[in-house]
Amino acid sequence: MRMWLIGSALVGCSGNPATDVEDTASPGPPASMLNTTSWSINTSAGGPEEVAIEIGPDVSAFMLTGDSRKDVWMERVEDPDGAVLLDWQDWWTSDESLTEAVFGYSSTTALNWPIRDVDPPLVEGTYRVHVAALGGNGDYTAGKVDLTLHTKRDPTLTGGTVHARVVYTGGVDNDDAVVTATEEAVERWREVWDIHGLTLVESYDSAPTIDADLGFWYSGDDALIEIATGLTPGSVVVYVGESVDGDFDTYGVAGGIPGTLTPSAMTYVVVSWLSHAGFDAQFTRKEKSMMGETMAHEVGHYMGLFHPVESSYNSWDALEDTPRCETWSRCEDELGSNLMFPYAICSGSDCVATEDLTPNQNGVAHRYTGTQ
Amino acid sequence: MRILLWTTLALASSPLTTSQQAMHKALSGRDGSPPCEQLEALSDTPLEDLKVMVERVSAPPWAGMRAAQCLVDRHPDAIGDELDRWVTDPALVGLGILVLNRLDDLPVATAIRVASLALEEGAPRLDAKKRVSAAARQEVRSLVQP
Repeated sequence: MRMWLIGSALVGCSGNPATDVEDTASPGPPASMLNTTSWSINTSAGGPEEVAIEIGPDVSAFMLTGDSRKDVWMERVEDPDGAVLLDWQDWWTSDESLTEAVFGYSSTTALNWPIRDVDPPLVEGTYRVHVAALGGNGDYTAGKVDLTLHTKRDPTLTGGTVHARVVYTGGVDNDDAVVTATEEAVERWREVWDIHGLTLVESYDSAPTIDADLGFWYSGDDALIEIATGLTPGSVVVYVGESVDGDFDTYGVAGGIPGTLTPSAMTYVVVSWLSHAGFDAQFTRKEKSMMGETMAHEVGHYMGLFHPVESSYNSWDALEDTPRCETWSRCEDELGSNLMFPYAICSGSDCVATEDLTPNQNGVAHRYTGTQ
Repeated sequence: MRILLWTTLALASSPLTTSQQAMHKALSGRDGSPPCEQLEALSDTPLEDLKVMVERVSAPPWAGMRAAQCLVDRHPDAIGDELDRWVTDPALVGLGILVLNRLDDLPVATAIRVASLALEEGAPRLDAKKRVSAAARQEVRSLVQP
């Protein structure tokens, strides 16, 4: 993959109305392919604001993040010729999922474009994204929305590196067994991604003041902003805790599909170590491997991948090469070893390894702006 | 690859019943599993089948933990012996942690009993003192903070 200098990127943004414009090239390692620009808009109760995004030559993908005290909705994307590339109405009631950006149910909403390899490559010119803030009843409302645009240049979109920070919460790193198991799980995560041309570069941190029950998983936590700030631009932050919100009905969660590259209350993937260690709190080799696959699965969500089929077998991702199976037997047969399959297929003490991605799923992962 | 057979094969010594297989599948979700009410609706004998999930299903590792949580949350009076064993058996530390993290949700008398047992007989890795101290209920917390 060719690396480009940040300074050569040509990206500008405008909002309507634009306020507090702040243009900041990302600090961090010089090897980053990301260009980052931040500014703010004020929305109104009258409808969405049209945000103009100037795309320069050779930009291959962008991510627009809206962060607000209101819920942020990205309704529509238009190319420089005015052609509609993405419209919420096509997806609101669809049985296929493409991006959570069109649902507007989070105060931090990220839109990555393009998403799939069938989406037209970016061209030089002005793209327009319609951004709205929503009140509690789902109506348009006035509000300040902080916008961050990340762009990347990657002429091939076939290989890339993802930086991840693995953060132990609430002192779980005082347990040597958990640390050892996590590190081995990360190796499994790396092994799975290597198959698909994704290089994992991880680092570790400890956040003893964040409760290990990971109670922030749904609404986020401002404490996460500081942890994500200062990392290599584009880093995904994976929090390892004991449980997810004190329960064992959730084992891993991504802060969005896709998740934002901007430090925010929603910049997270969470994983419960105890859910993977099970009844004895001791990791077997297989359990460490499964935790690594969960990490790869959840970060896969964060990079924009949905389950190829939901466990209800009546909704699917929007990719052409993931079968639209409708029964558990057929879905397990055709997709059971897919990394993004929604559940583990196990017998006795063994489970099917999940490490496959289809070419179209791979295309989504490589179009994620954080894949550099 | 033919995976269909995997879920229909017997676990351990005897095969799971149809309802147990359905419960096992529902508990195997990687991002989460249905609410306990929905899980129990898959079985005519939910209490027994949830116990089977805890005692006989070792994979995926989260399936038994989730089943145990449903038992703790919805049937604490019916699993008194199990609760006592979970907080004292060093081979069941994961289940013990689950129980001690729900001391505020258990009936008070049950919470005091299992907390006391854990403090007296629990494995060090259970970290019972820290978990009992974190209980919101004063009568439970007072076991370590008189």
